[in-house]
Amino acid sequence: MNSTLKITGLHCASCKKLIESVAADVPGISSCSVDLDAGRADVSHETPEALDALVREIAALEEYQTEIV
Amino acid sequence: MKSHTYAVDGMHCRSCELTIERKLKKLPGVCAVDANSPKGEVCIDCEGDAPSLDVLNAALKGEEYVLRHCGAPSNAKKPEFGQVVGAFAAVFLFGWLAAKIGILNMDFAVDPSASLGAGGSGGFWPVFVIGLLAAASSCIAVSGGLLLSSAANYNRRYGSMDGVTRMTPVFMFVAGRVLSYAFFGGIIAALGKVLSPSPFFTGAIIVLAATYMLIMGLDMLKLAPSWLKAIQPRMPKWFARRVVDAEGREHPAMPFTLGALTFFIPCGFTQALQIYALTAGSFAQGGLILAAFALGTAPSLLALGWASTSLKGKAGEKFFRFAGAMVVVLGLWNLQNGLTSMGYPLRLPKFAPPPAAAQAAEDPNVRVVDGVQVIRMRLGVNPAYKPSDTYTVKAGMPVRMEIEGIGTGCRGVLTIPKARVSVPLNKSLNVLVFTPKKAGGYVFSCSMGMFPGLITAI
Repeated sequence: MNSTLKITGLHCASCKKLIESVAADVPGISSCSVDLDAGRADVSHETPEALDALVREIAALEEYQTEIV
Repeated sequence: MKSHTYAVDGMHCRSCELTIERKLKKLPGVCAVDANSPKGEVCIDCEGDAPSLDVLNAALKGEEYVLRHCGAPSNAKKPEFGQVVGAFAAVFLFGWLAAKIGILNMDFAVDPSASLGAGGSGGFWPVFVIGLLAAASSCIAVSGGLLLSSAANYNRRYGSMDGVTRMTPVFMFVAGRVLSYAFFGGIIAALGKVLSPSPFFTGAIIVLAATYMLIMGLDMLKLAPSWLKAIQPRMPKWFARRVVDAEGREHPAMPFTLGALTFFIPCGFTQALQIYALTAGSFAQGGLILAAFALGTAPSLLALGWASTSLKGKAGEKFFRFAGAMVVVLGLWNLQNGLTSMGYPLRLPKFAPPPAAAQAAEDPNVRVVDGVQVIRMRLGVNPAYKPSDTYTVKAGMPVRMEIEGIGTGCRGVLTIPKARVSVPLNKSLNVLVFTPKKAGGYVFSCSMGMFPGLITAI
């Protein structure tokens, strides 16, 4: 399934890379693409739990706020 | 457990730190990783032996970061020698052309007091127009240089954001400038006193601004060594935190503060308007006058900022090198001006060592009348003073400088920092009297340290 995350606190290309690399390590996330200008990420994931895990991982960075749209 | 510290090239923000920390933590034996972007260092705690540099760099493969031993030469991309030379050549060509066309003609034919009339009805619009004109003169040399360097600093961090976001530092700078002019303009009118710090103080401000510009300019050219970046003025953390926006961006207030500080750069236009604000009578009126002036300078500054933030790719690279070289040149020039204001000019080649006493006693441009040495000179464009910009007098005997001509715009005031005297050049004949107590050089210049001339006392 596909979901969109709204992410606040993105400010540069490194943020995009960071979040995409975090997502790559979360089991059950098949792809994640961050749109820096729009402040969102398009995520395809296998289960709703995988998306929750990704949100927790991003929160653990203590840099960004995420919201499932 | 052992700690190892490595230097890292390529970090520029908190996300970079986090990326490096995450990647390196996955290596076997590594317990903790602490990356520090401002220092350009990463500290790795590990059990047993540290992974080799090759292993560490392999872990960061695909990222733009490179680890090396502290002190080892950086492999960061440096511009080619030819490119740097080209950028400086372009700046000098630009300056030469501008001088030919007369853009940098410091004797700009704008006289605030004249266009406002003596205590006249200078409202918002006349002063706004003065601002427009001032922005095309040397005033932009300082404000524009500061703006370019702070915008560059900000854009490296947030470079991939959309156009409006990239313009943020420019807007902040201009907003800071307008608000500070309004505020201090109001204060001047309310107190009925000009905020004119001593030449030494304003000189020190110019020197600080110049230092900042030099460092930033070298940084824009990618030539700044890391120790130089470390001394670059930063916002104190507690202050930055207070003004950081909700998105956690760093230092958006830096451009604002710089813009606000431009009030204290003793530009002739600003000074003339400060004196005018004295007559305004109320806080609101005084604030309005100086805010109008700052708003008038805004279009030029915004255009400059727009150019620096919206050009991308090859054109952007070229523009940035050009801007970097420009900021370095302006920095050096302001450094010289600031030191002149403080009374410690760097020796300019054109100020030859004082001539021998016998020769000097016969300076044909100095007449002795009733025990006073009279120097009569006229304001010019090039040379700045006629008949000469160097004079020789006797120490211990009063000197009366008679200056013909109204110093318009940037040249509103003539000052001799060492003798602590200055005179507004607002009449057709302006007189400045001082006594050089000791032998030595007495530099005279406008209040920003431009248009220097030298009186040598023997």
